[in-house]
Amino acid sequence: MKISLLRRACALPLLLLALAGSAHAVEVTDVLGRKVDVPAEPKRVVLGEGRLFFALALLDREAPFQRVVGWQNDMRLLDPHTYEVYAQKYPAIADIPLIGQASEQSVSAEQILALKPDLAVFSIAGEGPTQHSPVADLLAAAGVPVLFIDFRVHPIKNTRVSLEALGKLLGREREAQEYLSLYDRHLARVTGAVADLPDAQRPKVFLELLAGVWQAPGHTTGKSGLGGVVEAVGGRNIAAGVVPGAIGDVSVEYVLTADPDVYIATGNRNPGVLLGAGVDEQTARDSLTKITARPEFAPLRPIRAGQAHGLWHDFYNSPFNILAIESMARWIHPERFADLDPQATQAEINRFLAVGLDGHYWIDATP
Amino acid sequence: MNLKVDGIEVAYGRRRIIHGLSLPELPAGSLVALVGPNGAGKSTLLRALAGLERMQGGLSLGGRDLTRLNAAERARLLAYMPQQLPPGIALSVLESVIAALRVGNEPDVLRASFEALARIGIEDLAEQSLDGLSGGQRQLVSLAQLIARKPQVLLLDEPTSALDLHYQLRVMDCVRELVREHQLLAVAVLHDINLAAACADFIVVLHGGQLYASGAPAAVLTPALLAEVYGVEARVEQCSRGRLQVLVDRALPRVRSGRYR
Amino acid sequence: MSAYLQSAGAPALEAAALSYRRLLLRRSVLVGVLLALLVASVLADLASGASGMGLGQLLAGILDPDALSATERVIIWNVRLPYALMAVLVGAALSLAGAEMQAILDNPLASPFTLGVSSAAALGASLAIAYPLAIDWLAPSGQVTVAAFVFACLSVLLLQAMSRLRGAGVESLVLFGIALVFSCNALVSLLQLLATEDVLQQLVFWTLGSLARANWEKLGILAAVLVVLLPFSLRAAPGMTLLRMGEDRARSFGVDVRRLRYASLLRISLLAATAVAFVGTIGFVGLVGPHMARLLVGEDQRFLLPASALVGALLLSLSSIASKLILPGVIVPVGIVTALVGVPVFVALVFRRGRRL
Repeated sequence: MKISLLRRACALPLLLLALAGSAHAVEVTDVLGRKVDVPAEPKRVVLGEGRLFFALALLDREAPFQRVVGWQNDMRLLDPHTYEVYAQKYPAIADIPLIGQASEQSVSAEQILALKPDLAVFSIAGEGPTQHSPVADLLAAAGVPVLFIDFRVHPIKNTRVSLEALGKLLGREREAQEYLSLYDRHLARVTGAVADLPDAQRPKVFLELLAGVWQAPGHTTGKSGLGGVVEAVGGRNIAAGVVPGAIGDVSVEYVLTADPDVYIATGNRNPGVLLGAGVDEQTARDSLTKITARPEFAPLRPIRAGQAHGLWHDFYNSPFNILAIESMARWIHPERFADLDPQATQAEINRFLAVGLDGHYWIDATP
Repeated sequence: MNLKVDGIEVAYGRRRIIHGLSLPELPAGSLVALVGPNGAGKSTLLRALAGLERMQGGLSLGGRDLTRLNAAERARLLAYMPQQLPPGIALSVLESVIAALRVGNEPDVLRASFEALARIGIEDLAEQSLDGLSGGQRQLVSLAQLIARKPQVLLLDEPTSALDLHYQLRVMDCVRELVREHQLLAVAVLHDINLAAACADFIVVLHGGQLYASGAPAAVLTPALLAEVYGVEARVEQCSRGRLQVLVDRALPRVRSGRYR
Repeated sequence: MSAYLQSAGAPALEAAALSYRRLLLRRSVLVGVLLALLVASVLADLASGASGMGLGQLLAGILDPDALSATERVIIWNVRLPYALMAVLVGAALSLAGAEMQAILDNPLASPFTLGVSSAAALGASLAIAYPLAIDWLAPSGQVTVAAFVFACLSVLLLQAMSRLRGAGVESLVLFGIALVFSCNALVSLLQLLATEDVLQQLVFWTLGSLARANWEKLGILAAVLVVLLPFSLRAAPGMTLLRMGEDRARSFGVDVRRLRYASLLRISLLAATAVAFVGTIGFVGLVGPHMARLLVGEDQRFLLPASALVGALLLSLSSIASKLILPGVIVPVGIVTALVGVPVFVALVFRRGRRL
């Protein structure tokens, strides 16, 4: 009798504890429609790509690296200036163990497991493991929850889903919602204004990716990624019907014949358009001038009129893609979106970040 | 056992190489030289005899119809020696002869292989790698492979081309002795008319895929034949030691019809 | 007694027999050494990995699985053991296939990679990745494997059909194989051009070859294929040794070269197709393994075939270790490592070739 009473006495607090624990258990739906649940707030997170970190930066604002126990090296390799800025503020990031360099093939499943993560965050496409990767299966077998997010393939649709799911899992719903309300507001302002625009009123846009860096001119995107953004902000991507896949090269002749109204070049390094963290306006403008001086596209109307634009290339896979959306909206429909101020939006976003976006992330040929 | 060749035809698609070729019976214990200009069909005929080319016609050995035999049965009776041993084979001499026997039913492969080497007088080369041998030595190894199998008929395709003088003679002398000792029949395609004259019992001259002449060297090798078949003006004489020698004086100009004057 | 034709004296025969037997013994010992090295390499492969788990821990974990955490169990049973064993089996299969290819196609450059088997497999896999079918009993990942296998087999059948054409010698076969490499690669590139982002990533990942796709099912199948086919290879070995000395010679000595070639191509297609279907394109092993083995044990196929398998397995096992250790926490794709590991060793062996067998 005594024992059973004692047992019951112990059982109650245990039950409460269990309930409390399960109150921390969260379930979300990721961008693939999968249900992902964690028993408790994840403290050890592995990032499939280094740059997925920016999503964490919006959520764990004070100490964005507190949960990161492993990541790939792509941020350091592809955006060294941003990496340096973060490293200065948080020297410990140099010690974060690597799970790969900057490609899916280099990811070590064992290393991920050895780090004993309680959550793995992967992108559905990019340079890290995807849902088809054996790494995902291994983690499932080991009982590690995997969250798939996406800022790349369908940025307009998935940025919100990704941040919401991640925020909920990490117990940072407030922070996620703060950013997302800004995001949604600005997005709705743009997409609402051009929702039912007929083709005749959609300017033709040529979006040249990594202009001057890619081995040939005419490297562009089809219907997904930034190409999808062009459509969403009321433009017509001249390559949409031509490039069958995600990215491809269109011929110079095709571009000249298509006679686009708007020319946007993306870049992030020399010898292309120089944009990104730490870049000042003049440098950016000069680099764009070099690009537009190329003989192949010099005859294009927007270039002749001095109205070319440059955009930071890495917006193609970034939670801050709202800045790209706003910039592109302004360029494609200047009259409709004259009041848009991506600079102000950037300042607003910086309020959410411990290390703000400093530098120029877009540029006009003519100020 | 005598070899009878009766109306052999060999064609590559529509192109006929050998046209209805018949030979007088080739007796065992003799060395037959197959000669003729390039493109006459000598190698093709030899390969047809070896069963390496599809042929029409009659072929029998000691009365046995060879065309009815399968490859394994034929392999017990005839053995074909190609022009060269390919380079770059990482085997020792002994091993290469053993390899030739392993595909047969020889019970004591090691002994038979070594004896074949000894028969040809190259047993001291047994452990040497094939790669390190001279062309002549390799041909002797090839020959050892052949005789290790104890065939009735040896078919040798230009066994002396690319060999130096010593080995040209040594190889043919070796063949001749084997032929005598074991009553084999050896048919050898020879390029060198003088070598053929010196070592063959019987010469068969091919020209344009057909039999031009056959018989003893002295009977076959005449200035007229040499002019007609080879397009050379030559004398056939006996040297001071009684050996038949073909002495070529000059090439004959070609007449418009393509034949030699 | 003639000048040339002598009989073998008994002592000379004895000496030759002794020397030959010593040669065979030496070869067998070399094969034994290769096996021992392979075992050592596998143990080293099992002992290395980013988690720092040592061999002792791993072995203890195998014997007493309950003592481990789920993570450790996954590391042992889903990562270390399958990767290490897959390296051995794939290396052996590719190298054995390469050895047979080099023998029957009479070309030292023949290998599953150079003759288009890998490229055909990549094409099959790419088609399955880009256009998955809605089959209940076969998941898309299974479809990819099956498609890769089927296409690889088709490529070998095509090669075989080519070899039957009148007038087609081994040179045409090799040229056709090379043509196959280029056309399959071009078609794969075309598929990549048409692909959406995530399909594109899968295509690129597949063509690069990776041991990370190993699982126990695949191991079982590949092991079965090797175990079943190796005896047939050995039985064909004497004929293949003779074939190396010339097709005419072999045919005249009674070797049914056509049947030999046909059976060999069948084995080659099963070995290469299975290996490539399971891990993607890993080049170089099938080409270099047989050459290294030949430098060690010579051309006698009874030794060369098993030695090739062992060398191939050893090569890939060492590469697997290196791919884990070069950059800590990061995997260097094993196909890159096989080239980097294989080339210097191969060149070193070639330069020492002057020595006796």
